Amino acid sequence: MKRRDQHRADRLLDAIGGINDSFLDEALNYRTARPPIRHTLRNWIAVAAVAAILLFAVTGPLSRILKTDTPNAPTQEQPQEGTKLPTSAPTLSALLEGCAESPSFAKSAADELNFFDGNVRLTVENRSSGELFVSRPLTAAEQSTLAREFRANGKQVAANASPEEYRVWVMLGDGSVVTPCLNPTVGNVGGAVLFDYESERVPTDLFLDLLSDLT
Amino acid sequence: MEDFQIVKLYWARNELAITESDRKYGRMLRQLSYSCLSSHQDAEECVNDTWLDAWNAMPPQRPTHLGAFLAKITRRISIDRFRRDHRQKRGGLGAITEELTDCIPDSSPTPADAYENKRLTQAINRFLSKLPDERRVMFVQRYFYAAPISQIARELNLSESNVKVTLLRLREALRQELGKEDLL
Repeated sequence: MKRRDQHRADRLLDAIGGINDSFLDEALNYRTARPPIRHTLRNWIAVAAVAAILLFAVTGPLSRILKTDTPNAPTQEQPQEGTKLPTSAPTLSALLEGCAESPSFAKSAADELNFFDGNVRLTVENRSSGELFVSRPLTAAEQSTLAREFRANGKQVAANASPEEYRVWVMLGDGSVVTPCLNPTVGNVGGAVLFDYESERVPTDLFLDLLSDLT
Repeated sequence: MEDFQIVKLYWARNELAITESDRKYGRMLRQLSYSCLSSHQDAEECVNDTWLDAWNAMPPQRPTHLGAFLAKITRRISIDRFRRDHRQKRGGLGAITEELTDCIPDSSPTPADAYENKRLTQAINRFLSKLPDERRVMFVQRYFYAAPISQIARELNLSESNVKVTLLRLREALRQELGKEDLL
């Protein structure tokens, strides 16, 4: 943090110390009327599990029947070379989820991250579990793709969009940290820290292709 | 024991006041201080300093919200201690700066500083008064009581992501509010 920002944050911290006693008392004694989230979450997990079982039970035999009925039908639609089927294009979340299984990524603890090793690497975080996955050093070609990604105009994230389950940062090897999920403005560069963020920008196909190659 | 009864004990210079304060608010104050300092020993010392400050402050003060009154003292002591430790740990210039503060005749804030800080506090209070209860509680728990996100989520029965996103929006709203009044 810059010295001036640090000073301002200190001032704000001190000013918050003067909050009205009634607000402080309210925060101490507040009891929410909302039911505990664990119960809600448990219910959703149960519903999802039942839905998944039903889905497998129904789609398994159905796909076998369909295959039997149309023996000459191709099992999977193959795109022509150089084209992509828009419906099957993997989403950012799916690609980031794939990092956990990818040999190009290694699980890492937060205190083991090396921001100064001179290599450009991607770091992916599962927000629920807090797990981090760090990629192998990116090649020159991959770095060039990343550079184009940061120059490209990504779409803005919808205002009512729910937070992504995964987050991704690029560690530049000199302590700087950036992310393709934020607008490339001056303030959006971290110093040797995986800064907290909520997506502002949707990464372009350039970044998705790069992730796809890595996973 | 009710707050006013404990305050009466302070005014009567009865040491039971500290025992009762500790029984009622000690846990909350230790947690607050620990959230600032991440050290149980330092937190314990800050809470002990709180009792001394409270003893010296009552009389003349007669707080109506004793918990809030004590929390403000603990928070101030903990932040001061954090800053001092932080400067010392930095070594080099940090340590030299720390030593040079001894040469400053009066390091208390200037009237202009005090005025600006007051304006800032007033703006924050106005901002908080306009918020729905739950959001205000979330803000105060996080930025006054320094409560971890996980604890706030548990107490408000929300997911951690939800708390993080709400706090992000609150910070953004406060930034706009302070910007409008040309503060900071």
